[in-house]
Amino acid sequence: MSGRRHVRSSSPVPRHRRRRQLSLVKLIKPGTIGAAVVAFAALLGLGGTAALWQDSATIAPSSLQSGSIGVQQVGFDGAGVEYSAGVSQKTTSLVLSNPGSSAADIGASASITGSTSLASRVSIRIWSPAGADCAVSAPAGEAGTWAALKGIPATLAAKSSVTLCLQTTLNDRSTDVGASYSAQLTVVASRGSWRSSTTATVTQSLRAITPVSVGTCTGSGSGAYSARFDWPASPLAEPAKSNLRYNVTAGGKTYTPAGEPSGSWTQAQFAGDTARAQIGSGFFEVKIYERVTAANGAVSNGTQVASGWIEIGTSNEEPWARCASGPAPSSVTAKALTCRTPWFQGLQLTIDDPAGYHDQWRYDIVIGSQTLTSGLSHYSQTRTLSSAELRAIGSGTFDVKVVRGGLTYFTGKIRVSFGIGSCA
Amino acid sequence: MHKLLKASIAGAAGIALLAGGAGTFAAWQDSAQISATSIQSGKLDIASVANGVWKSGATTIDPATYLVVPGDVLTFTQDLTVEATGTNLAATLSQSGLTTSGTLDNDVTSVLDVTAAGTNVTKNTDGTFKVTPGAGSSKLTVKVTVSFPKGVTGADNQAGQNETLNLSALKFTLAQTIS
Repeated sequence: MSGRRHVRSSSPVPRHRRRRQLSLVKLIKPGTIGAAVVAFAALLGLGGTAALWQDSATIAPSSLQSGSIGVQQVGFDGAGVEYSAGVSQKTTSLVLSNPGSSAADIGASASITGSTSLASRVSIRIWSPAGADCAVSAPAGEAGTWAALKGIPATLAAKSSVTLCLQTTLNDRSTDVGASYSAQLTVVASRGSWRSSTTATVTQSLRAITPVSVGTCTGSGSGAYSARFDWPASPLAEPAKSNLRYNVTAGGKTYTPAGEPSGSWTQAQFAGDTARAQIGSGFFEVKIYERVTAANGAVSNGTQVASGWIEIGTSNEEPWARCASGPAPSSVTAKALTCRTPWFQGLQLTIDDPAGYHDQWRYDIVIGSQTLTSGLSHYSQTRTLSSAELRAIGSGTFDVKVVRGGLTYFTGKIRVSFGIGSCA
Repeated sequence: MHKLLKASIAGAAGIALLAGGAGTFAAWQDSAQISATSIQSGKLDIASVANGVWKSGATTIDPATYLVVPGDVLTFTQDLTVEATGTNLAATLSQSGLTTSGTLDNDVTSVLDVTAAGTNVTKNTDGTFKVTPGAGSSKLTVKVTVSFPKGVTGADNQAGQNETLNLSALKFTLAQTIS
């Protein structure tokens, strides 16, 4: 077959085919040839690319969602209080919550407007109570202040809350009477640059009802057994004095002011910022209580707000009085230190008085049947801040007592003989 | 006469040809066999190894439940294997690039880093990888790092909360090249 085609192809071209060939040559111009070559080359290239290997892999990191934080507080307004002689503390519950979907760091601070002096004396305890019962005593530990709150949880988990107890205590009610301040609590939740805060404000004040000391005592009156003492009472902010009740006790007996159930007050006055009582001479322990009126109107003693000692006496028909605040001397000890000569028999008293009121108290020294009241000059008596010394009390054996306010603080004996002295 | 001459000549030629053919069959003959060995093609393949893992620090997280906050640095790691065999094989590995979207995108930075282990996959300066034939497979590690700057705490600020960051799918293409 091929031999035959070859033979046929080598034979002369028929006339009609020769004409067709000539016509194609005329149609194929040089530009057309170039385009055909390019197209052919392109086709070759596409075919090669398709033959090259290729593979792919896809990975999908998916998406991320951000969280949120927030903070809310409930209950701080319960910390508002008016401190008074009987109220030095206020406890309330405080609930902090984070409604956000992410945990948040928690911080709290307070700013004060008003009496910063009063606010500075308030200690603050914040704790997480068992069973959300704030009536349970605060746990031991260092308390914070408005300037440095302690006990706030460091973090709050997402969508969580914590119940805290907030207890404020006014440690010193002696100054800034009548003052008040506002404390603005700011609780901040943060996470990185996220920050959310909430604020709440309460007002705390100190009601002016305090006598916190016995005050001054002045001898007055015309009778041999009357004197007067005054002490700071309620200022004008409490004109009715309705919250005050004064009890004066001496030797276990209680005296109440006029208007109260019977007592031995001869006069009790409330005027201005002072309370005045006129009582007989003697040695009195004074205790001042806040008056508490119950819902049913019953009146009782509240917190004792002051205590002290008053000694009232007369000298040459002139009343005198000494008084001081603070605790009474707890004991008086005495011992004979020097018994050298009949005219120089010595007895020295040592007074244990932690409050340091030695010079304000007088002690009666009873030797035998004689009472050597301090201040009497016919005995040689010297007194120092903490001791008293008697001299020249004569010969004999004497019982010695040191008495004050009807109470015997010391008993002993001193024996004095001519030229010889001994004490026991 | 003329036709008879032509027929005689043709007959003589045929007899001669038949006589010659009988001589070829009688000649020597031999054969030789050659055996060409088989030819094996190479392989060019890329595949992911298991699923990628999201981590916060050293802790594995579930992006479906994890909530991003300022200060977080999250990483997504996915291994790929590249297998390239073939004596004259050359290939290039390229990736589609990371694109991010979503409102959280304004607050975070997202960085894609692809590293290769071994000598058969080397990084080019344009970010693609040159793949040369080698035995076994080469590991390629894809790491996406999403950082939420911690920032500075000042006034109340809640930017970027409850928002979404969408990360595009990453396509890695391994293509043979003609050297």
